[in-house]
Amino acid sequence: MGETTVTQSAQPFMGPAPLERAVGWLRGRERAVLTAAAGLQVAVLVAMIAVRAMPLVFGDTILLRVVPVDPRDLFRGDYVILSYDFSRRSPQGIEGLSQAGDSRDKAWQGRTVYVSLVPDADGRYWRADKVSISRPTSGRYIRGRIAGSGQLEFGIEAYYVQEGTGREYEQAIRSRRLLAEVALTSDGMAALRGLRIE
Amino acid sequence: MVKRIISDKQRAWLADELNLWHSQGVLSADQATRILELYETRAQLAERKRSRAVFALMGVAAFLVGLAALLLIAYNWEAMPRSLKLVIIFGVIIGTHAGGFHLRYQRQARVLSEVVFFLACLFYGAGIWLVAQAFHLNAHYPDGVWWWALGVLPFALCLDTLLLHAVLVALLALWAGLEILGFGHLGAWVFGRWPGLANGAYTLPLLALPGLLWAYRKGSPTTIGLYAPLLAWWVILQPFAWRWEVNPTYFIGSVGGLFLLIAESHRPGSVFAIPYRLYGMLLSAGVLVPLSFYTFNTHVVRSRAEAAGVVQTLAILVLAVATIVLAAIARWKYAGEQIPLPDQIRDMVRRQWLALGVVALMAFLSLWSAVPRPIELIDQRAGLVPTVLANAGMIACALWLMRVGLREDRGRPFAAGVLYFLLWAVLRYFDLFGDFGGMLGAALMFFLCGATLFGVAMYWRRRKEIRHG
Repeated sequence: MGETTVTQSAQPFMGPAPLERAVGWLRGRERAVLTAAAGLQVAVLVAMIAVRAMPLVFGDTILLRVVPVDPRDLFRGDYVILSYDFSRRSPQGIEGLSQAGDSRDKAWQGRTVYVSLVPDADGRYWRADKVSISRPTSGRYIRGRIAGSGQLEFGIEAYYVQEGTGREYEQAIRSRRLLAEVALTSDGMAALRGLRIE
Repeated sequence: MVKRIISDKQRAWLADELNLWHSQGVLSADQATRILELYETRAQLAERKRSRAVFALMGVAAFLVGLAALLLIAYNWEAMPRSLKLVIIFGVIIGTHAGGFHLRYQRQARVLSEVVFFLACLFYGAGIWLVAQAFHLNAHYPDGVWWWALGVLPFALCLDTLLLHAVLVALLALWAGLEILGFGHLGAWVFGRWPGLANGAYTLPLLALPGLLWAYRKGSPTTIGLYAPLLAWWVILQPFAWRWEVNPTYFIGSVGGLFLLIAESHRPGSVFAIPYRLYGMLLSAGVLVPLSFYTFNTHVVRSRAEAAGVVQTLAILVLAVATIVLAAIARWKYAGEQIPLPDQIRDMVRRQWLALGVVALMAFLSLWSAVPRPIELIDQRAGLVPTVLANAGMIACALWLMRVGLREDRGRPFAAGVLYFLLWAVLRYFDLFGDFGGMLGAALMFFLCGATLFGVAMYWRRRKEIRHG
């Protein structure tokens, strides 16, 4: 047991010159850095709103038929997951994708898709006409992405409700009376404005 | 002049020693008083302790208030219009930050301001989920956690509190877990999704590195104790991201070895090494326990994960070489140790034999499990070599921990080494002799373990008495 004992030390580490300069700079401008950091937090929230609010401000409202279930999100409370008649589409059913070369399902995930919409026979509701990876040159369309396993997402799949109030939506879906009011910009960006029970 | 921080015990010891030196004529009464005046008084010490307790209480209170805000938001009042919700959330975030600035720069209440900034950062996170809720946003939700972490980072670096580092580490750990385990199929995000590249949450080291440097710069081993498991968690998740998770045991063990390697790359006696050593030992010694059983090793060899085993071996070796090179560069460049290369290698072998041994063992075992062999051979002998090596590894870990305890005069690693050795002895007894030893055999074994512990405790006490009088 002829071990040499060494003493414990917790001296602050003096790092390389650039690190020391960075620390000095940070220390000298603590107030400005903290202000900028608080500004960043507010900017992140504003950006979230700006991106989502654009269709609500500038878009037209259309009605789509939906198929919900009723899960709960730990952070955000109760919400209804919405699915549309064009939310599930196999890669073969997407125009332009079968010619893209790669036949693996994984290779397509995350790709942008466009769903052309046409009015129903009565003109009240809108339904999918065709799904393509190319932006349509005319008409109304909605922009989304391939989320995997034939699932397409458009950012309008969640509707948040007050805790314990999801029941009426459940009943509405069973009787096929639930519609989504979707705000849509001319370039296909969508935002959920609300749900309507017929 | 700012007085130096001292503990109760240290102050009592110093006062006794000064009295002794004064009575022996080594110091005058005036010199003894002046030395003692360099350190905190009993009143200042008590006040610092009280402040720390109050700070901890305020931190917990702020956390609970933040949690309440989150749940209040989650309730999602339908009667409240969207615009009012936004006004409330922005008002609360900006108002709390303003309160923090006021306390820090107008009232000079730095400690209180840090609790208020901590609360503001919790409100900011709640704000992200509220905005998502108010606009029925269906997005890739781990992004919300990432943006929350990014918003907390500057506060963690600018303020002196551990609270924000703890929040940052928790958020990054949550984010990496969600991305890799929940959305691995999407591919990595590097300015857009890359389905061909595994989703390994690659920005985590970039976001964790400033905090880790902060911890070194501040001389805070506790903060390193927050970031070290975060980095271990991220590295351990990588096989899951890359779909090699058939048998992660060896990889987890090798990450432990790499942490031991980092620990022993610090200066001898450095407290910064302790967190790496703790987590390194938890991972490697923990993995060696199942690996020390013959049945476990036979099962692993039978799983026939040949390709994954080879890739895992290569990954372990690449990581080990990278860690050794980085540690050598750091010591040579930043620690002012311009030691010739042969001496460096000698020193590395002397201090890091266990760390290198654990990494080499895990790489070898991974390769061993990957060797294609007929099923008859698996049933006969294939599990024997890993079992013997893992048992040798367990004994080596126990001896190394005791040696570290003796080297640094610290009871915890010494006691951990003794307990780990006893764990090995108990496991092997039940594994090998449990069937025919019966209750009497077990009684004898536990008696011997108790006697060993008693003997070791007496040895440690005697050693302390000799060293510290």
